[in-house]
Amino acid sequence: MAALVFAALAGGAGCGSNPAAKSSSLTESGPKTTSLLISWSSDGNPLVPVCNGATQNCKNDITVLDKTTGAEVTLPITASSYTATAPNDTYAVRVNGFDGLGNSIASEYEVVPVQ
Amino acid sequence: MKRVLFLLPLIAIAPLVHVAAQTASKPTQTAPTQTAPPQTAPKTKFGATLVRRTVAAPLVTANASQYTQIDFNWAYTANAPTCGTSLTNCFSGFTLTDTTLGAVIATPSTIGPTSLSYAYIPSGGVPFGTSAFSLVANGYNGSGNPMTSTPVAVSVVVNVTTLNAPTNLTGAPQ
Repeated sequence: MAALVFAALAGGAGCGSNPAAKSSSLTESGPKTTSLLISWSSDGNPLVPVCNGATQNCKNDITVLDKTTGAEVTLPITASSYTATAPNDTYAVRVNGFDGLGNSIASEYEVVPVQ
Repeated sequence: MKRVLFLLPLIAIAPLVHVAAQTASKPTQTAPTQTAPPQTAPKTKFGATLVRRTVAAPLVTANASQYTQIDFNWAYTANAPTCGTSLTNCFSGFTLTDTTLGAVIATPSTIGPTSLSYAYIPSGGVPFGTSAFSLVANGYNGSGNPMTSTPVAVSVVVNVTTLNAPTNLTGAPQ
């Protein structure tokens, strides 16, 4: 109990002004997270052309998968972020497109590391 | 007389070209012999070979195609002397153009009259999809005006076989 009180005081819990001090043991007293901003710097395929209606040798869109529920969201290939409304779920992102024969292909799902 | 001597071989070598007197002869790829019947169409064309990425030639872009270089080659029988100090009635070299991008890759200053090949290293690697190229021979007529041959074309295709996942993926609670 004494340790918990010390941790709460050291982390500034209750003030609501120090988000960096969030702790898993203090989530009920800290700022409540309501969403998860998922972002990426590149779709990972800079030389692959965007499909724009084509179905060969191109990248088409991005899928965000909520691994907890199995729900999928499809985003334009030009997207660079997505705000998920279930911040405690686990998410993964992949890129979809077409190969030289017109077959649908996709990257591996990359799990979103939460900061 | 010099002008006449120059124009005659142009007409003789390129009889099917509509404006023979305004063109230089057309480059072709490896015509091993000249013994084929005159009416036989060329059996080979301007060629291009893709070169794979090597450790010694890393790509600027990590996710580029596996190819970094395109090696072009062709055959050519000049029908005019190589240009010297006087730019009249002479053959100066070749111009290679990426017709997909509309960009000139190399001109006679790079591909001289004795060149029969050229190694092209696209910035960032060879792009996916189809890239088309043309090659023309350049020269000057008796008046010193530039003239070019009809182009010969070749395409290279790099197919997408896999896709990479997004990079620098992060999730930030809000």
